[in-house]
Amino acid sequence: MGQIELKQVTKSFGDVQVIPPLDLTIHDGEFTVFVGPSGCGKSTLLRLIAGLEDITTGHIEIDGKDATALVPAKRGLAMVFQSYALYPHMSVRKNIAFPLRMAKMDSAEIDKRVNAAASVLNLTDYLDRRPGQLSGGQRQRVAIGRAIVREPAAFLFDEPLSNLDAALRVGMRLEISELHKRLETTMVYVTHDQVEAMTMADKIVVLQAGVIEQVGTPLELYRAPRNTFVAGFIGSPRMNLIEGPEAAKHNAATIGVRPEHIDVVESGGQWQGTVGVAEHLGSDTFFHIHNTGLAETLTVRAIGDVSLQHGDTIHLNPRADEIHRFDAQGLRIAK
Amino acid sequence: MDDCTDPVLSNLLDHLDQLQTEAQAINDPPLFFNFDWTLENYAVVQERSDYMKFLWNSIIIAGGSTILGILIAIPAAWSMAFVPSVRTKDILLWMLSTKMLPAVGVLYPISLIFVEFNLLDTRLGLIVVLMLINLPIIVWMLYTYFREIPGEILEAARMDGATLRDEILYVLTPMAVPGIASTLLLNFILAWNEAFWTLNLTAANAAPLTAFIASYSSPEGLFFAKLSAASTMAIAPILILGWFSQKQLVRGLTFGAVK
Repeated sequence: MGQIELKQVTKSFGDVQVIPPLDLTIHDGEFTVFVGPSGCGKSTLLRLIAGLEDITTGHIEIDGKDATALVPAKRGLAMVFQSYALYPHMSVRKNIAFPLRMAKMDSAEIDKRVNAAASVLNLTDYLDRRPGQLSGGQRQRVAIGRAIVREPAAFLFDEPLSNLDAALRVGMRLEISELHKRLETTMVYVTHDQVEAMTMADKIVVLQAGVIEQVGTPLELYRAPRNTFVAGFIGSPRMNLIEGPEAAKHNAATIGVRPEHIDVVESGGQWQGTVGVAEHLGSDTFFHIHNTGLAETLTVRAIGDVSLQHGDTIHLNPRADEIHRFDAQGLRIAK
Repeated sequence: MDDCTDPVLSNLLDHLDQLQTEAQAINDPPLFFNFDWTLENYAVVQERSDYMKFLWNSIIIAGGSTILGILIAIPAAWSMAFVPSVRTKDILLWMLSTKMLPAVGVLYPISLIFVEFNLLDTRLGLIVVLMLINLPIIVWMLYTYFREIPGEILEAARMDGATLRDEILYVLTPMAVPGIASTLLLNFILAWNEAFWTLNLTAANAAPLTAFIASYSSPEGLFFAKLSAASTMAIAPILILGWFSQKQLVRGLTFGAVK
């Protein structure tokens, strides 16, 4: 069980309020991702849940019980840190066994659980090594192993993949998702990478300056961003936001069109511009287009390899039903 | 040899003195290697005063004050390094400032305290005084080492269910072993060589090797050879200890400085 509820939680460091009053419910078994630019308070929020920081006002409930005043050890949560935070002087076995040792579990049970965790995480051959002798991916698996042996109410991940290289990151992302499917335990995951958020989350919480901008499933956020911030943050490459007369045509202060919702046509397109940079990925081509009169740069994704080069004129047609409209406050206008 | 002004040469001569007779030791010009080598002075020194008793006192006083200091300093340095308050820097500087106080300035109150608590000429009294004198250095050194340890690892321990005691015992201390070892060593040496308090607060029972050497600098005669023998005997243990641990000591001392 692992339902986490934040009720009117605030956090101030000195006179600076980093988290204004905030309410959030994370349901049992849910994979929730906190995403936002750096400094948006997502890690602070996770540390408040963990108990590593004291909340200034408000309440935190875990499984319906008030955990506001509980020390981290008593909250029944496990955390995986960005730097892995393994104990360098202990072997992998002792690292994984540490939480069980702290719980005064008997050694036969500890061995059983450590071996089980190690086999799940492919660490059996490394149990007697020190963390210093492991690769980044292996270290991260040890950190996860240390978290799962306790069978916690919920897992907290603080940007666990940002120290890994790109290939390993994709692999670990899948492993964590699979772990979640298998354990069905609540997971709270902090990242600044919206791709991680989109691919892993059941529920995404988009944060900016300590304020929740939107909560929803990845596709809800993609299809109906509540405001221009979420619109620009979710999706890769980011949504084109266009202001001025073109937006006024749609009775909006700002309109947004995703790069994948603009078609490249031979001639006579609704919009025109010159190709600045063309990124050929094989499966897709990303064009960064200037001189459209709409925005400084327009990004367009074309399927397949389209042979337009730097300086060529490009004709574009946005798909009318995929245009998002926002008012002067940046809030979404319903269709 | 008193007219010898070169400190290095004079030191060398001092240590040759121990192997010479008293007459040879004060010979002018000094004798270098062309004398009859003798170990007689060691025998005389051992006969006149019980070296082992002083040695034992030195070990207990230096060791006791260092260990007691470490036990007090680890929690202090932990809190300063990991949960600093706005006053932490001031407290650290204030502690360091006590090292700038001339020891004689507090001799009178400390002597009175010693008389009041019957601590004069006891090992316990010296252990406490030397611990207090070296405590600022111990706290400072440990503070520097602890600051090198990533706070996330201690937070991980807290998440893993470790109490504060577990955290310090099983995570912080083992990780800080090189730092703690060099702090131990340096403070052992400082306490071993401490002469002001050991000379002023002891008489016979608790006198360590510093008092042992001093007893040979007698105003009633020139005993250069015996004084040299005594001082060699007094520094030999710490010299050997230092020799074997110099690598550790240097690594520990430069630990925070060079990344």
